[in-house]
Amino acid sequence: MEEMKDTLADEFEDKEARRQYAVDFLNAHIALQIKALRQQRGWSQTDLATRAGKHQSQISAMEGIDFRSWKISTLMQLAEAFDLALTVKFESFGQFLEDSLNVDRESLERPSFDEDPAFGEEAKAQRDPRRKLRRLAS
Amino acid sequence: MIPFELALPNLGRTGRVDRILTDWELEDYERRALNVMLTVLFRADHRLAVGSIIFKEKEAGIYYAKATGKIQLRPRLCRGPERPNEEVTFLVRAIEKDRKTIPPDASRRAVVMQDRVTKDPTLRKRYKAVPYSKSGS
Repeated sequence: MEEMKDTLADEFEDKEARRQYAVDFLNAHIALQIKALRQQRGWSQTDLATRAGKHQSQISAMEGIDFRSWKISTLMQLAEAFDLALTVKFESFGQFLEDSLNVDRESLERPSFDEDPAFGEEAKAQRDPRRKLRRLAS
Repeated sequence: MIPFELALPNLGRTGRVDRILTDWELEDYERRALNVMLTVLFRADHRLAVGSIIFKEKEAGIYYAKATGKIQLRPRLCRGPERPNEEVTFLVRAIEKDRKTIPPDASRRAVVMQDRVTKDPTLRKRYKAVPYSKSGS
């Protein structure tokens, strides 16, 4: 959808426009990522609600792209339920434009800690020799 | 899901077609909300879209889309009709005000339009982004 990207880039020249897009895309992105993460784990909305200490109706509302009442504390509860880290950062509009267009399933899914290749047995086996080398060098 | 829109000949303006989304007269902030919804809908698969971007209506096969923001745009659409997991077709313009749909029979009208577009697929056109910012024009 290159024409959409070009249209958005033109519209970002206007401060009010880029402010609105930033808010609307943020809301949509969080909602879709919660849903993608839940579906990735094969959980129902009730499953996620139970794990996050929420009601199913709250999860349903949060998965809608028009949900706007985000709280960091709620997002942290969801991150804990998914066994993920929550990151919040400020971003340039150029990078934001790129990121906002990436809401396909693959770009939204994240592995939980147990599935994370950075922490599996294989990763541990690679870390151990490096540690031994550092000990020998010191 | 690739967004298409119904494009019907406008009898009041000879030689013109009236596209449901493109020719919808909206304020800039409403158009932006619509653009966000269509952008994320385009990137989402049907399992992600249903229940987050588009929502089932009681009329069989009809959905409404939610555009975020202070204005409640709720255009009616159907999946497909030819490739229901890959495409959607917007059929009727609608908004929600004070928890009421305007026009109130939007979904029933959508059923009629869905039937028309199923019988004549040339009535639908691929949606293309519309630049609406006053500063950009």
